[in-house]
Amino acid sequence: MFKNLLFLLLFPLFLVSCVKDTDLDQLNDVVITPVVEVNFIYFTLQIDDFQADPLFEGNLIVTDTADIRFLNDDFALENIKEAEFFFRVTNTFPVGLDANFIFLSEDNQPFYEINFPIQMGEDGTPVVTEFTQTVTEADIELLTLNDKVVVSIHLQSSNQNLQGILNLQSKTIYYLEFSDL
Amino acid sequence: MIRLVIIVILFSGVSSFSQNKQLLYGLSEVPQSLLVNPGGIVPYDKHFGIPFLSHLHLNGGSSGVTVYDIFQTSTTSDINSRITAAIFSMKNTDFFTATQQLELISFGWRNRSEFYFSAGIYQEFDMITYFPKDLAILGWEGNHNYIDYEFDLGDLNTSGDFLTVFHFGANKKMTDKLTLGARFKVYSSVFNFRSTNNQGTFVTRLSDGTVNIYDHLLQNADMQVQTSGIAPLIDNNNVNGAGDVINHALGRAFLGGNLGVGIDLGATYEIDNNWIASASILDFGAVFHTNNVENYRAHGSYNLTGLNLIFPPLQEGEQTFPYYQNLEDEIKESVPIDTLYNSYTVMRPLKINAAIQYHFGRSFGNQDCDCYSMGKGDFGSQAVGIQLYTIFRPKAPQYAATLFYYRRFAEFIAAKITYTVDHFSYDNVGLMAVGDFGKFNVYIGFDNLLRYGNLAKANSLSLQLGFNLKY
Repeated sequence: MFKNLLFLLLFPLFLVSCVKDTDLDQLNDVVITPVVEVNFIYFTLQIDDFQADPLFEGNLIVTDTADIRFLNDDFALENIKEAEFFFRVTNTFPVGLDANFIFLSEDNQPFYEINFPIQMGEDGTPVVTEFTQTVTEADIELLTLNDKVVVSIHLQSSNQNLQGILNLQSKTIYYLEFSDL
Repeated sequence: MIRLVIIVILFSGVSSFSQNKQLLYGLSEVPQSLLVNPGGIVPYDKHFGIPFLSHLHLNGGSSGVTVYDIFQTSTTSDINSRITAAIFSMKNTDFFTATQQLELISFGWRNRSEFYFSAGIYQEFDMITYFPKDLAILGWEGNHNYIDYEFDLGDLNTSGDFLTVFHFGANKKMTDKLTLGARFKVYSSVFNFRSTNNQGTFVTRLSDGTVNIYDHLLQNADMQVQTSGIAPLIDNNNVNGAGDVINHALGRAFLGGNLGVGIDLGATYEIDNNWIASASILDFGAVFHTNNVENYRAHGSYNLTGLNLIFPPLQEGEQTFPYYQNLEDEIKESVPIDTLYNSYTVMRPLKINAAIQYHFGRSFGNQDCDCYSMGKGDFGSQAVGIQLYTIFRPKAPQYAATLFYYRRFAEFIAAKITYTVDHFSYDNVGLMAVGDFGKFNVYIGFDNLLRYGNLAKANSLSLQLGFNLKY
């Protein structure tokens, strides 16, 4: 009785109601592509921070290591499609320097590296060097194998009485992609 | 997970006016109309709802976007561009809601003093989520193109209730013209969640150059989620399979959870044989969440400047500073996430109805129409009127206005057609039909009939149906 009544009441609406021109399978085509900018490493160096470079006689070097734990986690592996590192270095040392960033995996294997020269200061006047390195889609897998970075600054002089300051600031732009939601 | 969120937003969504029962309001042939106005006219002496079938109400809506807006088959745009367009066209006051009510038991009787008592139990789920526009932009596009833009964390605003309501009401025609009614309610909450008073901003700004490229500033953040009845369900140690979940929910549904009390009040005034005015206040009450409460709060300010290397002089084999760990610790210290167990109180969403209607036409019933005899005889077989509705929601009250036409076609069948303007649309046409087949009463109503040609284009949909016995 109830079923028959319900059927009688609902049937006319079922006849006229429908969902048209709509394809829910398009959910599979949803791709979220945020672009996120975030600060990276920064530091300031003076001559006292440098030590004699054991590998290159006549040079000074300073080295430090920082974990970047998120870089090799599942989120990064699956979703970072490209990245762009931007460095801005302000230097008053009257000599050239080289910046070297080696990205290491969990078992300390180097899979990605960034190198660029830093211009020398002029008579104590700060000189700004800007450098951008794009990690293309082809190389991104090499970057996301790593979870730490070794930062080295090579000073092209052995004179430990040099006057100057080096300030490095940096950011990374991550081009993310979320699909297969 | 993201897929689930999208599906929930697009489909669970239905209106906060889901709570608006413009079709049922004032329809005295249906006993459940006493749930929307306890002071309504009661033209029968007893009723008994068919258990679990006496009232089913489903309603959902989205004030800013339809399923068609996103999932239309189009050759000129893809789904991603349509989602982008929807994100930017919607406002943070747009909302998605879902409401469902299922009456378990319902009965009523008139006593010798002409009081009509009614009582019952119904289960209700009600959820509202405002569109978190700034967070959606941040998630969809990132901060790259939004340097200096302050993302408002307060856009996160959602609440939901799943509860059982035990109610008892009394209705009496006090004079020839005035009918009053009241209903006392006890709420038994199965679960509740609420995150409605969030504040703070997140902004990325170019720094002054002294530290790093940017300042990523989390400013005066205070985000809180309050839950009750949910923590035991997600604790693997407590829950072992669906059976445990059902037992837990059933226990809480029948007065074993957090309790609350509330009251409905209503009145109907028969101005003359043609004009009737009525009003009701529903769910003036609160639920007191004291057990199985788990709240989460993150608050503080922080400027993420990056990793500051200090190149310490190290001996062979000596470790440098744990910069990353220190950064994580600093963030946790500046913006701690606390788990709290303090009780909280949630006001029920108060609803107000008001209506005025004009009856005309030849009446049905035991008495002949005597249109010149005030207060005697049944009302005419037709009526037109206007109904106003307000529900108090976390951000602001929401309103709806309805024009209706009612017609009784015969002794046993009547219908009401409504035209409603609300946040969802300006052309919501609804229809409810009521039949009295002997003692058997049946009703069914639908909203948004103009969208039945393509339901995907509807901002909201609702269905109400039920079966009763009336004497």
